[in-house]
Amino acid sequence: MKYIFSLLIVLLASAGFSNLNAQNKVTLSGYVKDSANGEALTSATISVEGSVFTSATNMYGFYSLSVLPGTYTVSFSNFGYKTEKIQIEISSNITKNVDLSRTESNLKNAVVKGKKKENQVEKVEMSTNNLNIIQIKKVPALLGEVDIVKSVQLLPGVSTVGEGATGFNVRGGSIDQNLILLDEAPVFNSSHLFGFFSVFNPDAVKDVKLIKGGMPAQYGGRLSSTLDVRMKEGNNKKFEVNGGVGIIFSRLSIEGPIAHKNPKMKNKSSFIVALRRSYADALAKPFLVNNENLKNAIFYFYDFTGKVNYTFNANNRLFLSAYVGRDAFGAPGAKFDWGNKTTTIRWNHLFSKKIFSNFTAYYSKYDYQLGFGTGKNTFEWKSNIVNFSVKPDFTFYINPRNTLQFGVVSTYYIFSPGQAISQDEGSRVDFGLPKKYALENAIYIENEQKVNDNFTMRYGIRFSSFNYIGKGSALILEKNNFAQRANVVAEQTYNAREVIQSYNTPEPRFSANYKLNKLSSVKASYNRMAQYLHLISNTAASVPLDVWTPSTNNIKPQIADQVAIGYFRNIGKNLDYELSAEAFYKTLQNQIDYIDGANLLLNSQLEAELLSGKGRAYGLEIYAKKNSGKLTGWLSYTLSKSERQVDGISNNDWYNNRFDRRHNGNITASYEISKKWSASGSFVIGSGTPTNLPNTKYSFQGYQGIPQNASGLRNNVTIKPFHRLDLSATYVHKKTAKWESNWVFGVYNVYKRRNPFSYYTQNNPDNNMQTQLIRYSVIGSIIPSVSWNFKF
Amino acid sequence: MTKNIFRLSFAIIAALSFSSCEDSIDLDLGTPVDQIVIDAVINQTADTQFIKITKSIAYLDNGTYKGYEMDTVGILDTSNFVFHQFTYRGNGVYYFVPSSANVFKFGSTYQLIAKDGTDTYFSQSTLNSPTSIDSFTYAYKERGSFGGPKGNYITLWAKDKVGKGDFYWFKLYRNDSLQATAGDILIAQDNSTTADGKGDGDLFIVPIRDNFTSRPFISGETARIEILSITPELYYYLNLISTQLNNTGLFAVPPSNIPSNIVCVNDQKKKVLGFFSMAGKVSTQKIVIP
Repeated sequence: MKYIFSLLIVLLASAGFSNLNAQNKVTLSGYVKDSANGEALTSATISVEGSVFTSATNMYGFYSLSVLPGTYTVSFSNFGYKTEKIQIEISSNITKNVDLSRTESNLKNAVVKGKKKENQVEKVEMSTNNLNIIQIKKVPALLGEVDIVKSVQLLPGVSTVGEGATGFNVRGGSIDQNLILLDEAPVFNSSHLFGFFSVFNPDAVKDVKLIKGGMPAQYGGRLSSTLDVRMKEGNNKKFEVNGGVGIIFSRLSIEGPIAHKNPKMKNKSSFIVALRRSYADALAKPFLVNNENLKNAIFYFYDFTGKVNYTFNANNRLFLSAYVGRDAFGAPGAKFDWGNKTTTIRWNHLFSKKIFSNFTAYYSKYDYQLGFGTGKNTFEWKSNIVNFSVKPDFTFYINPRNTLQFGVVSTYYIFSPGQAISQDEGSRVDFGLPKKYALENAIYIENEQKVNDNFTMRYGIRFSSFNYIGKGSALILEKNNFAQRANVVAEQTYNAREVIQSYNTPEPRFSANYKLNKLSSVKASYNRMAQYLHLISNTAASVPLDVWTPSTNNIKPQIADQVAIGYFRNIGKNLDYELSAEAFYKTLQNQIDYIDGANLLLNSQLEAELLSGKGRAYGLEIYAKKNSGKLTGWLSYTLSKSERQVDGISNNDWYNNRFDRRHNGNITASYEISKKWSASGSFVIGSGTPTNLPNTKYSFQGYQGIPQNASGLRNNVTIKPFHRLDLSATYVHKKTAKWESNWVFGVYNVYKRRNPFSYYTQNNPDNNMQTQLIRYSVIGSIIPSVSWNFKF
Repeated sequence: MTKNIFRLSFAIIAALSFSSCEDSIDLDLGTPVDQIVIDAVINQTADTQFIKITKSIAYLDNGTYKGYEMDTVGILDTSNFVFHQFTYRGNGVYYFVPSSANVFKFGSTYQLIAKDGTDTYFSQSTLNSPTSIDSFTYAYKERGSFGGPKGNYITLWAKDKVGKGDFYWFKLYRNDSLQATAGDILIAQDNSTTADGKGDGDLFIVPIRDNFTSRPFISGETARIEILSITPELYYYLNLISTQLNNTGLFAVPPSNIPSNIVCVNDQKKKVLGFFSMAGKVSTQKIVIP
């Protein structure tokens, strides 16, 4: 570790030194935006002809490039947009804002000669997938509802325990190891309806980036991935309404400029509000009137997304975004609801043409509540996690060879693991758990350096520190090696803000890209990640009731080290195919497991029922993508293994994780048949996940069929493989400058496959003396859908 | 309890367009190994006491459990070293007829001793005194507290014993037959279900006192409840059985083996299943639903 530090210091110092040699250079900087709606374009490429130096816009559309004074032809390009070539005389620092216009993909002359492709060969980033909302909308979706998380599940290295499961697993990691960000605020539960739909409204999303490895130093806090979901800013040229009517949701979004008729406000401010609500409850009502249990049932979910931005001047811009989502289920005498709330304020400030900064402050909350009973006899239970964070980030475009990023982040957490109140004929009993508090800080610095024309490195470090603080108490445990409940030896109490336990983790990050030629490159990366929050869950699929817990004196932070190597190549006459192959190896420390029969909810001594183990995951990912032309889509295949070792479990041997999937592949394609019609299909196939099943049974005190796994091995049976085909067709009903509408017809699970989600055992409900093995399929038949979308 | 709401939620989803399905399938679950199962819960009453010894069978075998005969099976009273030997009746059943109530005394410690050839199986448990019952009532309700249909539901009015750390097991007899499906296991820790319940010595809370069945009683049926004051070990054991038998659906947790409190003293590696516990018993009157 010391060696890595010294190396970093030398590298960072050399980056600073090279700046001294660049004093006579001048800077070209500015923003690249979409000409139609003023949305910032991220990852657009700026290249200076006759020079090897290129720059890319950041997530706010900003770029900065230093050159020797002179007159240059500068080209601005972005995937899906016409390239602009502009001759610019650069004698002193100048600002050049550029608007790019979209290429219409259904024009006959779809291929624009000389158009730049997404430059995977040039970029140092690896193990990263960018999906823009146009691509996501082409993927056939369950019940026609475009879904961000379900599209992410089709990427290489990403899997799920089954259809309808919450979240996703990246490179053999558990679902709580993904940092899901919505405009920088973490989202703790990404699902509506237990996992059938994700919480992001596609009409309000601009693009999505999944980072599985080679993690930039600015991201931290989760081991396996970062899913960065960026919301649209809102059209700053004209008002636009998007909407849709589907089987599950209705959607409506409105966006537009604010006070744009005032010349002072032109292009300065815009907003977007987007709302979705399910109306399955209304549709189902007639079918439930005769069902005693369900006729007065409540079930709906909704989400609201809103964002405004204001540009004060060339150097200052402010963004405010908010999200509220809720699911509610219930019947007379029972209710259950949950949801996320996030608010983000961001301020972009240019200290100079070379120093871009962004200050973020966010609030994020996930909570649920559960209640039973009526009148004087009730039982209520609430739980939540709240966090506040401030986060300044800086990018210093030192010179064309070096771009330095640095920043700090400080986050305060309040955990409320469970407040439970039982009202008993008016007398009130409170058996909730006390709140827990924590403060997480991190500082990072990272440089991206073009060593020469073919070799680029990105190296940096993140230093994270976590403090579990009072008011609270710490359990002193005496652990054993038999995967049994630990003894609670003592309980120590702490005052408010008193530190109960701290952890510090240096997290080195490194990526490198070596270009073999114009069309291909090899990349390598290493990263260490630390995770201080843990989702306590031992179900196959996570449930909304699962509780997040901080690292404590007993729960150590999870740590992952990952190395990855990859080969990247662009092929085809117009370079419209991207191929990549990556191999990764990851080790994980302090993975949480549970004693047999652990009680995870409302348990004040939960820590005594947790076990800690090691994990390892490795695999190979192959990905081929076609970005342009009438036929677009991708093919992905992952061969991987994810294992765990916990003392006391499975004879202390390594065993396959519950979400281990040996083979996982899919083909997703979309074809534009005519101006009116397009068709999409998606085929997924993969091996089953391992599961734990008993092989014998016995009876006790009249209770029949008590399961026993006499082998003592964890995850002793592998579920049968899964495969499924989904198709959809889009018909553009009307398309004029002022009004666009289309119909989307979909068929999910075309050939009616009953894919196993899980196997479980039970006593036969009709004969308690008999036992049976049940294959549970979340979706067991063909699910057709139709939805209508409009835009004006 | 949370299961109920999940079931409700999923019933709703199923009632909509999702077509989740549960198919009974056959699968090779590996070679079964039969293990000895000792089932012994003994109370202080004058009723005939039973110990049952069987062997586990393959999970998907729907035949009956085979009884297992051992050489000597009985309970040793450690206060006076009297050994109460149980007599084998066949089918794995051993019985003992106490001369009167309180042959097994509250507060005393008892040992299970079962000899099978050279093997000796052993366990130990203390007999706790039972709680008392205030009343046992029934009432017509439009719906059960936990989603059952309209009908007659019973409520048990009884208090937890004063002092922390009491554990209870409630057994419902409908028409003199023990209700023993997965959903029928009802246990309590003090007056609720958690260790830090703040209602020590109070009435059993709502989810316990009226959660005996989701199937209302029909006219002419009888109902009776036994409350057993059990050891914490048996409480956790029953809790694990309940978890394992109710572990179904989308939110099933990995099944786990339930550890026994019985050991083979001469060969610690020899695995044995089942449980031994003493329990102080009290019973309601049998009521007839009119």
